[in-house]
Amino acid sequence: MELEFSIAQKNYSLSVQKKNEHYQLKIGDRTIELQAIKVTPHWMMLSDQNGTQRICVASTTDKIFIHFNGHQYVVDHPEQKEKAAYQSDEHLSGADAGIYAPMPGKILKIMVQENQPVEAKQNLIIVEAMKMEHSVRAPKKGIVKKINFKEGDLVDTGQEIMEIDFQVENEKT
Amino acid sequence: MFKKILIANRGEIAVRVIKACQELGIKTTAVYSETDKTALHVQIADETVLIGAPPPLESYLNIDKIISIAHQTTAEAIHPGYGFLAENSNFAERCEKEGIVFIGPNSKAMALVGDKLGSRQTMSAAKIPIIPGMQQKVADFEQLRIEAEKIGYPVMLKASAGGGGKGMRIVYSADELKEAMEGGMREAKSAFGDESVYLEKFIEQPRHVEFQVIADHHGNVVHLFERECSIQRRHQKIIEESPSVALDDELRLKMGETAKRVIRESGYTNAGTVEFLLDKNKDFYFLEVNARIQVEHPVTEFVTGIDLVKQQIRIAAGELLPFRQEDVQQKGHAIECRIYAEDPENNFLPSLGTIHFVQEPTGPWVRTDSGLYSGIEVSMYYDPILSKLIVWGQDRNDAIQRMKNALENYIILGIKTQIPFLKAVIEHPEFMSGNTNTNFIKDHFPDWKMPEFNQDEISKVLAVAAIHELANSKNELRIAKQSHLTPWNTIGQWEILSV
Repeated sequence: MELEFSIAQKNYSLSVQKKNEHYQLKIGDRTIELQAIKVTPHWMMLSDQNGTQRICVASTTDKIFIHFNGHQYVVDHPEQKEKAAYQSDEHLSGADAGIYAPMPGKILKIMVQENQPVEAKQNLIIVEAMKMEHSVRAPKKGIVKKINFKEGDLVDTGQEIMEIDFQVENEKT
Repeated sequence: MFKKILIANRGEIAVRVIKACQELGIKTTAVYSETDKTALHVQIADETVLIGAPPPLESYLNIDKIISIAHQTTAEAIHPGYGFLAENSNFAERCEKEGIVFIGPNSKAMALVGDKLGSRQTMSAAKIPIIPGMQQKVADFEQLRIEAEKIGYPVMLKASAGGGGKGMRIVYSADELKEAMEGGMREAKSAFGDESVYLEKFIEQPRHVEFQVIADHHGNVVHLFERECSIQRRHQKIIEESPSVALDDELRLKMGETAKRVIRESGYTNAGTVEFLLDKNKDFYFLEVNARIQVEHPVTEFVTGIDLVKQQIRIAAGELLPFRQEDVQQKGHAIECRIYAEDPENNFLPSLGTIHFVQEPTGPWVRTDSGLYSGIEVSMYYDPILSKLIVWGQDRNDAIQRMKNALENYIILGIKTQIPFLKAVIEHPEFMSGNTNTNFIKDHFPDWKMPEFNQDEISKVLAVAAIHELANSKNELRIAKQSHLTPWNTIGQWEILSV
């Protein structure tokens, strides 16, 4: 079986072969032999020549969450990865750049107007979640082209709150 | 004793209070907002009533609604937990008028200590050392600017109704003051409904040392020793412990007696915490009284063996304190880590969403106070605290090792938490040697990044992902096959008949 995964935006191709509880995995030029026993839907025992570890797993349709060595690893499935690549292409096109919501929350204050020039690090908006305020600042100099929300609106992570044209200002300076 | 108590809170503290009530044989009424319909506190209470929409002002801060639910469900007392209405003296007063017992101080004492400035005046008059700064609140920039000049930068801006770091800002120079004031006032307004602020001299590199005090309605006041809460991020405590390595017996006695004096001066009853800042010269300053059960109360419970929530309920019911000062002892060492829904890799921004699987660590002297369960949705409307992990050890080192192990075995899958960061702090040599102050995180973790995963770990993780995928597709096949054979699917609608 061939599988495509990514961890922290890095892609990996795997091939897996299974015989009873024994697995042979090829990841790039590495080959690993393991024994795995699924104890419950969320727990498995994983053994190799160095010993046995108890590992916890949970998954959704597009992600696998793994607790291993005291850390949570998030493994993305291929479908999700394709979508992400498509989106990031869109974001990078042209000189306009979007200002995206860093987290889900409520837009408390919009401190700029459309067509207003902004300085690097200037406060653009204040987003509130969990009773704490977080300000979103301009990454560099530019002109605000479009504001997609108004104060009081709810936003989700990654939603484009406003567009800023960085090119114009850069050409002038 | 009460027959029924309403818990005007949510999350881990609501669960904690309900469990105390269960042990005392008291029935409970849980209130909940629309997003908390299946929250743990709602699952385990005897009675549950919807208060309103998710925003706190429409639910957990809605005094009229909560009072009417208390009457409607015949609850004789209300436990406010911490946050929300816990330190709202109008709410305490309203309870008194309505003939409902508020489990906490009387409204007069609460108003006095909750008025941070009023209590500064009272304590100053009683010769209790306070931090130099303003004795009046303001909402006017020009006035604030003049006061800041008088005190001298850096100054600390505080919400006069505040607590828990909300509305707090350190201001290093005059040009930062306006933004700090506006942000602080907005945050204060949204958290407490009161936007006024004041300034204090900012004391550099202090330790935060607080004393747990408990007072009954019969004039008995006992302190249950200190907690050191110097490990803070954005003025939010994240790790607390008892005892503090900074106190010797003499200083502990002196601070404990001062804390009791603060409580007596305020006419305060029930459980309260007297916060002090301890500077490098071991001079201490009264900061404020927290008129509630504290987030970090389990630390005190571990070292003294006293159940603070049960004591709160008993005192509210008019009982005498069952111990005197000389009866209480501070034994061993306890540490608490607060688990927040924050992403340590993304500037500690809130991490929201579904927790697909949770398993909390267990073992001797390991305690988790939590409202979590597998499948819970973490909402943006409330405080990011998910749970608290508390351990006890024979000494500080023993407790640190136990905490390290417990953090490694705290499994929360689906959203990010700052557990990896807590582990890094616990393992830091300066923390291990007890060399802490409120600047600890800024000084030692200015730009913390998760350690890079090595190739071996990545390979194993990928292997686990692959095996999980394989097993899942297999399972589906097997379940599909089974379901074809099971009679339950073919007999049509069925019901259980009583015999």
